[in-house]
Formats: sequence, structure tokens, C-alpha cells
Amino acid sequence: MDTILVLLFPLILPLVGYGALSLIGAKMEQNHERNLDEREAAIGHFPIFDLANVPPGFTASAGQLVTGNAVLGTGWLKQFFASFRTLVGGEIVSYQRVLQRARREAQLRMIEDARSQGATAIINVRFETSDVGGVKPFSEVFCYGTMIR
Amino acid sequence: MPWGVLPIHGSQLAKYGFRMLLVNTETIPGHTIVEAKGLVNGNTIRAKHLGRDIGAGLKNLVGGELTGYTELLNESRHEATQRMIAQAMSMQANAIVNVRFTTSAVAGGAAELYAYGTAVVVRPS
Repeated sequence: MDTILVLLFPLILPLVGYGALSLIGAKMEQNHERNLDEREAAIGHFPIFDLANVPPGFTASAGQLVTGNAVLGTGWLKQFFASFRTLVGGEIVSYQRVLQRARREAQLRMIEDARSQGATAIINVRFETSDVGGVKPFSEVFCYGTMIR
Repeated sequence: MPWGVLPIHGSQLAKYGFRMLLVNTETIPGHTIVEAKGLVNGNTIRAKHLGRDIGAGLKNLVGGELTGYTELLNESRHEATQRMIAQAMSMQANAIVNVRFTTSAVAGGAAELYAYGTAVVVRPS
């Protein structure tokens, strides 16, 4: 029995390690989502548009570029499971959540940037997603627009 | 750091309150475009710092935001923008409209940040 355990030890240890890491990762993801919810609630409704012109009902006497970006990594375990998903196809929910978090974070940073300059709205908002990690799936979401006031 | 301020090339200009107006729309609210100077652009290719790369790799064990990369890309984008602004200044423009950004990964572990737009002369209307 003991010898079996000793033999299985190199196999069990990484599993325990990965299990712990994935739990930490899931907890961090929840915390980040909660943090985003809180910051979005604190800002309330801030009008942003992807229209090129000042929308009806808004007046503007100045404009300036505002930006926000965020780089998020997926985590090794998610990458590992996602590689199985690509065999059978279908939606990769874990990646979807990561990118959505990155997008919300970038958008919030852009809004915070605009608000600190006294903006009333942001127009012509554009989102850009790029893979910056080469072989590693680190995704950057970059978000920019013109704040008006 | 606000966009449109030139800390290196324009330090003297910044002292006198010079600021290039940047927008990603075709017009600027409250301003009239009096002259279009032409296309201006700027780029930079950044390789990742080994230490940052290892740090990001460790962070990626659990996933989440890689702050080092977020900052690196932000700084690089500012640098590309400054090159674009320097070009616009040499054309005696005071604003750049329709600014676009692109990012692409080139040869393993390096990213190119590219900014372009149209240099124009504007006056408050």
C-alpha cells in the first residue's frame, strides 16, 4: 500500500497543485467580477456611444481622446481544458469570461479617464482585441473614444 | 498621462501650454478645421522584458490581470502617439483627427503598436 502511494505521489502532487491553483484562480475571477460590479455601480449610467457625431440631446464644446486597456491571462488550467474543447468544438466559456472581464475593465478605465476630465459622454468608441503573448494566450483589450464636454 | 502632451520633444512647448488636440472622430466639437495637412503616423515595436515575462508566466498559473503588460502596452502606445504628434508638429498642425490604433504581434514575444491619423489645423468656432 505504502509503495503504491509512493509511486503515485509524483502523479498526485501535480493534481493537488493544479487543483489548488484553479481554486485560487476561480476565487480571483469572482473577486474581479465583484470589483467590476461595484465600480460600475459607483459610476452609474455614463453615456458612451460608437457614433461618430455628437448624438442628439448632447451639446459639446470640446473633445479629447480617452483610452483604457487591460491585459488578462487565462490561467494554465483553463488553457489545458480549453485545448480539449477545441477537439469537439463549441463555446469555450472560460475564455469568454476572461475576455469579457478584460473588456469591462478597459471600458471602465476609459470612462474613469473621461470622468476625471469632466466629460459628459464618450463618442466613437472602438474596441480592439489583440493577442500579445505569442504562444501564451494573453489577450489585450484596448478601448478608445472621444470624450465630449 | 493625458494624450497629446509631448514630454520629450515638446518639453519647451509643453511649458508654454502647447497641446496637440487628439480625437478619433472626423470633427472636433467646438472647433472648425481650416486646413488638412495630411496623414501622420507613428509606431514602436516593443519586446517584453524577461523579468516581466517570467512574472507574467507565474501570474498566469492562476490567470487574471497581468499589470506589467497592461502598463508596458500603455507606455508603448504613448510612445507611438508621440512620434505621430512630432510628425504633425513638423507640419505645423495643431490637431490630429480620426486617430486609429492597431496592435499586432510580430516575431515571437514582440508587439507593434501603431497609431495614425490626419493632421489638421483647427480654430475654436
